[in-house]
Amino acid sequence: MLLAILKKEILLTLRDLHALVVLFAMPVAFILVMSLALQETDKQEQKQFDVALIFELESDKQAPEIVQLKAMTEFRFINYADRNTFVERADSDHLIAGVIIPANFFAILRSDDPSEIKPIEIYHQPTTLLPLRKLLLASLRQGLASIQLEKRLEKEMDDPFLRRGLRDQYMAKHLLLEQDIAAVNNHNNGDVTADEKTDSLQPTSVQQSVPAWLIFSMFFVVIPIATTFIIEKQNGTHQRLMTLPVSDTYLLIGKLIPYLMINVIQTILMFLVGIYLVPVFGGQGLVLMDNAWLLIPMSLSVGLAAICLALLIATFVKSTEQATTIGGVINLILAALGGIMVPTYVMPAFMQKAAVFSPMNWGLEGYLTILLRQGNFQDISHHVASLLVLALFFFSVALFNYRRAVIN
Amino acid sequence: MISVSDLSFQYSHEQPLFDDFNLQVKRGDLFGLVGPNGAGKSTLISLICGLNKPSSGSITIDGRDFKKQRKSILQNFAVVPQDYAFYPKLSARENLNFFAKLYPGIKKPSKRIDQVIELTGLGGFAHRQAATYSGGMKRRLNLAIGLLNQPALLILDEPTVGIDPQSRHFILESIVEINKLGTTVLYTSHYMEEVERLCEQVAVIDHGRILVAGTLSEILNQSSLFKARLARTVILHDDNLISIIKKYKLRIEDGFLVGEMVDINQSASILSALLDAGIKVENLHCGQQSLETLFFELTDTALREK
Repeated sequence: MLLAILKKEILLTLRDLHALVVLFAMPVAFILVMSLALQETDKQEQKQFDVALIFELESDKQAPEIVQLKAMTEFRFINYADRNTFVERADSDHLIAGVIIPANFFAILRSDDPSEIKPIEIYHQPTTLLPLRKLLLASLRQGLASIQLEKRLEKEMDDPFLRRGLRDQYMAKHLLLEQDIAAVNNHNNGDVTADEKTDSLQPTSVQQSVPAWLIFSMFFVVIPIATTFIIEKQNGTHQRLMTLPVSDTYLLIGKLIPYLMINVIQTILMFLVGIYLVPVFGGQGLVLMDNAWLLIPMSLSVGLAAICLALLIATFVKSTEQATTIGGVINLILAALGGIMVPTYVMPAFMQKAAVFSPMNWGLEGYLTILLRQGNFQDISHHVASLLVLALFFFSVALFNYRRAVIN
Repeated sequence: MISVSDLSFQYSHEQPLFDDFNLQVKRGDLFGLVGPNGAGKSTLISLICGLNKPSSGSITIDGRDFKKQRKSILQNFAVVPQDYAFYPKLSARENLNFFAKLYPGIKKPSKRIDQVIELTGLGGFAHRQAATYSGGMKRRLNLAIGLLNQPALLILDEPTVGIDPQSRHFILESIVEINKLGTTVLYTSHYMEEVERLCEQVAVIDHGRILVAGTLSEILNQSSLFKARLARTVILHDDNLISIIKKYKLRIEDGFLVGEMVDINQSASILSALLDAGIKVENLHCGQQSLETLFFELTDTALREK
């Protein structure tokens, strides 16, 4: 009996071109477009930003501190002749800021009384993001503090090697190891360096796009499910089904399982797109680790929540127009809130807190825990459990509503 | 087979539709249920199918109650809704295969599917998507699905709406055959001549009440009609005419002299009296009336909103 229901739903879906486009073509297109679009952002984040360096006094360019300062920051400093040249070429040379070194700055800094020193001026491009501005300022502060410290030590100690060692110790570089939280329990794992972990603090474009648009497309089963429901209601098939010796729970489960299979196919397809198709178009491919099997419970729980929400909506709506509008709007709100359309890491703090109200976010965080944070089953279990509880709730209400349906 | 006793039902926020309603359909009957839109036919069917629950009273199918024996009732029960209650994107065979598998009682589904395809004349088109079928083929598929479980009780809700005369003839013949094979049929239709042709037992309902019920010959003979069109030259306040009207309890309606007769002889007496009085009659109808005439007489001819 279940096989017959399954076969029927699969045949209906395969013969519904719109459903196929919504369920398969749309997410593939989204993943490709968004992975490639965000790829550029990744590159920007990885590249060195250019900063103009303008000396009020030409001879200051040769100051040894300049070499030291340049080496100590993450920015690429490019010398510009004067303020006007910097302003004229700021846009065309993609400069994020300009740093103006006052005349004799380092000489005064080296002197015994640097109290009369004029400050270094920093001019930011209006489009430079606040974190980048702060990073430039902190880098320069760190560089200047280091130079000052070395000068002081120079006076106190004769051995230059010892001086540098003390300076580095003072700056405590080797005392700090920057790592991702996921490395807490793997600190003995020599294969993963601190730098590699730091790179994965934020998902890559493909790590974000594949799960995000997969979840989005999973929730779009509301369109074909509701369409089938509406057709059944409108043409009397629902009435006929209710007069067959089969329980309504069974009929509803009969709708759930085929769409769960469709969700599984969607998952496989979307991950294949991320792994193989995105690199073909020049993007960074998705890499699965040993914990990839966790994608199965994660995808099944997301799928169940999505289908049960779709069943709930389908039992309430009275026309395909209502289903498309209500289902579409709910999906878009959940997606916008849940970090599907705009990744949560670029959201302000209050929006990141609000994101947890979207079940799509539970799914996305679960996927990111698997793909990005190398999490284990325990790490995703609360996401899986939350989605399953929600699915059960939606299914119960949908069943109540399905039973309530009459042939009016 | 179907026993509806003291049934009361009302939709929420509406007036009661049925109040102490009673209906009996015997095993083997081909029972016609007629009534205008809003009469309560579809609601009665939904109540008999167990899709709506009565406020009070009881409905039993072969002595069994839906509350307690729903599954066992539905095993031998089928409804053919007025709409095309199947999946248009599936072929006839795919549709039949799906519905057949939902009946645990069908032991050899593919054999039964072949039988109903043959019975409903869908053989040449069974693999085509139902959406491409003509109205008549869709109606036949609708009926075929209802025959899958060889039901003891078959409810047909307007099974011939919107189809060509050949398909209608085919379906009506099929229904007669099905009934002859022992299936009790409850048949609703707006086509009075169909009901008159098919059904031995008929009930006319309106506003949730049975207006008349019984065998077709009983209800059509209940009131033998006399209807004579008078010539335009006849003076309606002629003393002779008035005395005939009083004597035979007649009335004048739209130029017709109308009355219910005990038998055909009484009609002959009226005609004789009219001719003797020199009252010209242009047209005469007398004797057993048609179901349609009775229907209009009972439910009036005013348009109905559903």
